[in-house]
Amino acid sequence: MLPSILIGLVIAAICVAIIARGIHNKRNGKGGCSCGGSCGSCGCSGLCHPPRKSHPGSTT
Amino acid sequence: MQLNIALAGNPNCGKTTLFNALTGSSQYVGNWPGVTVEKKEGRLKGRKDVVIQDLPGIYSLSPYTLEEVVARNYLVQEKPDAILNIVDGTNIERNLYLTTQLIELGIPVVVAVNMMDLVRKNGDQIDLEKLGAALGCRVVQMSALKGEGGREAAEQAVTLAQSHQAGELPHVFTGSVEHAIAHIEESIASLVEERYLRWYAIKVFERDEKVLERLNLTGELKEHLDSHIADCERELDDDAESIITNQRYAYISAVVGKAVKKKRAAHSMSTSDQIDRIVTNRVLALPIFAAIMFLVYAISMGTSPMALFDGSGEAWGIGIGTLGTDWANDTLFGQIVPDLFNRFLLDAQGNPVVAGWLYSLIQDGIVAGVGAVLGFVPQMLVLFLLLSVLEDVGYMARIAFIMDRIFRRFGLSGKSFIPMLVATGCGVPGIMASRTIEQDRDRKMTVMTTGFIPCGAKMPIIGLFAGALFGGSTWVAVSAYFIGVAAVILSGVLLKKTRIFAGDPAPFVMELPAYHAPTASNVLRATWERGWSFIKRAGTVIFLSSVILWFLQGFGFVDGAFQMVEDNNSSLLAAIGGVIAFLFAPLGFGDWQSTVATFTGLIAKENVVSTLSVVLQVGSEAAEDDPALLAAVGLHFSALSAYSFMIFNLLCAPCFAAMGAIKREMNNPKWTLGAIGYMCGFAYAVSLIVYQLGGLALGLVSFGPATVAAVILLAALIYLLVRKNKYADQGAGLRAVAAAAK
Repeated sequence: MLPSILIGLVIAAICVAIIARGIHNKRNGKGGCSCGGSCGSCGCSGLCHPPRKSHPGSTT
Repeated sequence: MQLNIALAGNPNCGKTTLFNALTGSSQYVGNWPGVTVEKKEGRLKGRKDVVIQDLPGIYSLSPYTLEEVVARNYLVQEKPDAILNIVDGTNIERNLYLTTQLIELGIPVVVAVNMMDLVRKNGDQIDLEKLGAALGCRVVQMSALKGEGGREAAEQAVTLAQSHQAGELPHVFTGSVEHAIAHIEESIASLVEERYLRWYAIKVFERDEKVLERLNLTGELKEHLDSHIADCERELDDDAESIITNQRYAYISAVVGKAVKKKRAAHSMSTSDQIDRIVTNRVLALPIFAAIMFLVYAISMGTSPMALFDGSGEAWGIGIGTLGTDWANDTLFGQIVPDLFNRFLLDAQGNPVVAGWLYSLIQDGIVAGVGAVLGFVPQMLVLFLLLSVLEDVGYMARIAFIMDRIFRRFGLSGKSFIPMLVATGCGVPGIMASRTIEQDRDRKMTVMTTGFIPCGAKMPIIGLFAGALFGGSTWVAVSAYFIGVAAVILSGVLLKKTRIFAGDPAPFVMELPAYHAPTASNVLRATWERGWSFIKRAGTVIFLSSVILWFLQGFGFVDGAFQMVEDNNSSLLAAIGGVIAFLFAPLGFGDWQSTVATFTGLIAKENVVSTLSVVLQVGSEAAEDDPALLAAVGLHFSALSAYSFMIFNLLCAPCFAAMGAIKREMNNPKWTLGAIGYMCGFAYAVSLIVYQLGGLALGLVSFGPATVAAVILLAALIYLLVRKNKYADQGAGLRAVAAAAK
């Protein structure tokens, strides 16, 4: 019984983490694009992966 | 204080390679022009206060293309502290055109002559001091590819940025032009920042609409300035823009004459030219392209070399990717991984230590579903590696050039082929890359057809069916690629004969990069990024889908009670899929399993394979004789229905992410639905024709209403392809109207 509960919880946690990550990515403009983040070949990468404004005074 | 350095230069001159080296970024480096459409930002390694901006490659600061607008807006409006102008040393005359314009901006400029290794190899000499003296700015040498001189060039730019001192403006134009420009400078001095005065004055002289709009000159002033420009035009017997261009080139010729010594005669052929005589030859180009793509697919997805020893396939197998995939499917995910899980999930007697349903979820759902997709990683990595090598040596740019000749006959431009090259990795950036096509109708048509090219996610589908029903034949994978290209061409012919898409394709001008040996870092980076994104999706989207599918195919209503079912034909999934399965019966796969696989493919195309793995109960009693996925699929489909299923899934609506990209690019619900509807309709028609008429010819299908429908569709398709284009003159007509309006 205990192994079933523990393993079931692990699988449930993984599923929740995947969904949460997907929502987080979507909110950050990283849709379902499967380019791996560098948009393997796309000149318009900034459109699906807008650069983060990580520092003040950024020009973009 | 933060310093902003802009990397500017012609397309394909090595800006992104230098950007990656300077900032430690891993931006994609493409070996064809137009890879960077947007500016990208990074910090200089070891100097947190220095921001490097990688601008799109441009030939001039005219506002004609998206790239030029992006670069020009940044340089003029966001005012970087210095410009690091990358100049291709092997094409110095053409590159200096932009340099002269950059210097006129009044921003400190460092010119970095790139590809100096090639210049030396060609036996040419560039006197950097003389060049610098003539241009009025600092000139340094570098080789971005070999990692030489880039850092020094950046340090020079930083020093110059800190000093805020621009060089002396060179005397590019003749007396009367300078006279008119001086008048303009005087008149607009109060309207613009001092350092930009010269640049604005020249643009006003050229009658640059965007600049005139921005300056918002009074009618009287505009008239006054125009009289000066008109005087100049009369004197030099040319229009203002051409005067500036011609005098700029005359100036550059004089500078190059002083500073550059070429070993070869001006029009002698380089090694690249000699290779291109064969590779882009009018007759040989297409057979060479077909042979290269055949080889690429043969090595990545063709018959495994093991076939030479076990006699299971074609005797000349060179499919290294298939060798890896066979091992991954049969050994890694067929034995090692399930055994590993069993070690924890089964007791000494072989009974599960967890609940039966949980054991089934892990082994039949997650391991079977995710493993089925990951098993194709070796094939994908080999395919991406070969495509990356082709791109890095410069051959992919030639394919666009070769395809332009073919596409043009069918109403498409070679520019449409660039997104299709991009789409071999992923359809989303492919669709987005169509943004660079200026003509709206060509752009929309490209968006509608780019999804036909098999992307990386469709590769497992091809690999699965090639392995399961065609003995791993190379021809299946090659045919999938060329079916995609043929679908694009056929759609071009069909759509160009409609009123909405009628008209001549836009001219396609592209600079072909010189051939060079592939760079290991570029090739491996591109391969890894594409492969890694595939693996990541298997661990996320496919994992989740497998869990949901396992639940839906493992539970159902039996005698009115919701419970776990023994036979998945009684499951919820079977009930849902069974409702619409009839739609696919004429295509040869009217069962709920294939229907569900087709629909889950909309989440991600890899899902087709993982779904089949879950619903065909790979590893359970249903495929007890041979628990391998290939065997289960081989039992479920016939060769013909498998081919029909593969074609439908390759050509029908892409995944949701790609549909989202279509929606963004079309920016119109009707166009979005139209594009997706067209793809589904086209896929259905082709699959129906293949299955019904193929089946009839092979004696596998009896004549019936579906066969009649297939014959009618084929006849209609032929008619639409060969009928006269009544809008053929529309392009010329529209041009005539536009000319008259001017």
